[in-house]
Amino acid sequence: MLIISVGGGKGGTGKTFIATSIAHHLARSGKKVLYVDADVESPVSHTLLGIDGREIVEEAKGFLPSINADRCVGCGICVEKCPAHALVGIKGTVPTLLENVCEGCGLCMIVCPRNAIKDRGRIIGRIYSGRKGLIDLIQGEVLPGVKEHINVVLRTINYAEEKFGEYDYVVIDSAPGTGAGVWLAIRRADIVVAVTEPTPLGAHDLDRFLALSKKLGKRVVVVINKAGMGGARDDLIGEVADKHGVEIIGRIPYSKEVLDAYIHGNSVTDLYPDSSVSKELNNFVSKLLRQARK
Amino acid sequence: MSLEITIASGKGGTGKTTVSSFLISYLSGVEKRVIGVDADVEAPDLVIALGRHTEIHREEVFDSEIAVINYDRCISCGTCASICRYGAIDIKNGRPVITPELCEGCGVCGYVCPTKAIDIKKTKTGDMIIYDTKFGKVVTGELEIGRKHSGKLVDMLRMKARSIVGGGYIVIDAAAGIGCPVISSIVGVDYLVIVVEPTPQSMLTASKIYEIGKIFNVPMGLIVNKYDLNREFVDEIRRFSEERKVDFLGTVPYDRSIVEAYVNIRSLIEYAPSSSATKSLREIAERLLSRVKG
Repeated sequence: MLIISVGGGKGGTGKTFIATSIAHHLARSGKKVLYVDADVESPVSHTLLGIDGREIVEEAKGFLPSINADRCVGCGICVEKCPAHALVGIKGTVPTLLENVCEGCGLCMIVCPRNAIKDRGRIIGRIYSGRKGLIDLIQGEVLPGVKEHINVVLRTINYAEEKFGEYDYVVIDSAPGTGAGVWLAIRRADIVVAVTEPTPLGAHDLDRFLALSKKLGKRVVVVINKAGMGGARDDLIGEVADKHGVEIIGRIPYSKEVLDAYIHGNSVTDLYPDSSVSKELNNFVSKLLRQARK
Repeated sequence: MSLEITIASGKGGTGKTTVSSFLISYLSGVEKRVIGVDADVEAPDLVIALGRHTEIHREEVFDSEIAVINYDRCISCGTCASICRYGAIDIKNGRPVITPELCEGCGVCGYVCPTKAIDIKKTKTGDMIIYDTKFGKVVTGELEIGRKHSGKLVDMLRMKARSIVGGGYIVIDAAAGIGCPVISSIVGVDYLVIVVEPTPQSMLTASKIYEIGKIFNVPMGLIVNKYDLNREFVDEIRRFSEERKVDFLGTVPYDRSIVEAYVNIRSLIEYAPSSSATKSLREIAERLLSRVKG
């Protein structure tokens, strides 16, 4: 079993497009693939894997206090201690809970001297599963307005991890950025794919992403997506890659076929197998797999 | 009091930074007093889109707290690991070990520890930087790589911006996604602009941003960027905005000059003042302004 994590820093560079392309490629060659969508804030991989029917396999529950007004004496300790400032109220009154501010740590319940706070629980996110041929999907989704998205990433990856052993390959699709959610998505990777676009913005965020990957001691390869877009600057990406000592192993051209496949929820390599973008994608994945097995 | 406008999208790469930077350049011309906030603290690149910029101030922000175990006192009872709701404490070789990337700093573990072996220590959240640009100042955050507390840094940036500008406009460029830092970018603002591209994937996550806007009772408007890449879908987006009473602010065509301006580190308004994108964005900015001013 080999774990490939896909990230890159900047949003919209094509992480999900590249990650699903890797999964399609592997499935075509008869490999069993587990696709883990860890971009719980905007999970859309099912649309690109061609999965219609998803099933909820787990509801991620979080802590949410309920205050028993009969027991509460309005001492104000919970209001004072709440690290998220989600409990408000003056001394002598029952505090009011700001649900969308609560981060679900449970400290209020522990510090209450009157045992007046209980966990009424709430759903913070959902974990879905789906299947298309040899590709199995595990996908996390945080509910809008809930601050605990990192917790949902953790639960999703933990849920998926129990099944890793059943597969030849695990592909983990991360959120944009360089924070804790991305850290979780690449932590277990055997190889990390950094997807970027040839612009100063792509280069800037790639720099931070490569720093994170290197901090974790990961092997990383870079792929430039939308290569050749208006005034493309591959050289900027080259500079960042050199700085971190990583290789650029693919250049996927900017093309109408990709957008067309994207909108219609298809794999570009299935829809337009003879296009130059499909050829570049296949070359890239072959190179990636060679590097990964080294 | 300043008027605060946040630009968000859910999915990454739809054009948040393009819209934010344009709005800042436009407002600096017509309203004079404007400040930008780059709330994408995991991948900050708003200033790049504003052209040449100089760093005029940088400070370290220590607003994160992390639990630290004193192993001289720890008796390895495991109470801390069983109570942590963020999965930040694991038992390894019989001893509890904290994963700083997952620690929320809530202090629950310290409260329950029978030997008081856990301290909560302040740690670096990231940097706050102020840049001078041709169009005024921009407050930017750089989250420590792999860190969890992006929402806290966003709160700090917004406070700083208010103290600097004291009136006029604050334009907040949110991160991709819908998680904690995005919520921190939306709470309490005067107007929320949702930037979508004409794909089902973009609409899927934009609708979650809409839900967050509803929760926090913020007036909203919608912009379709790169609308001509999939014209058929624009009507669907328009229907979405009508049904939910979200202002339809306009459409922006796919325009090479946007990328070219980035690549040349120039603002769009200067680089391509008569391009089709600039024209559409100017109309959108006018519409937005009349709406925000009421």
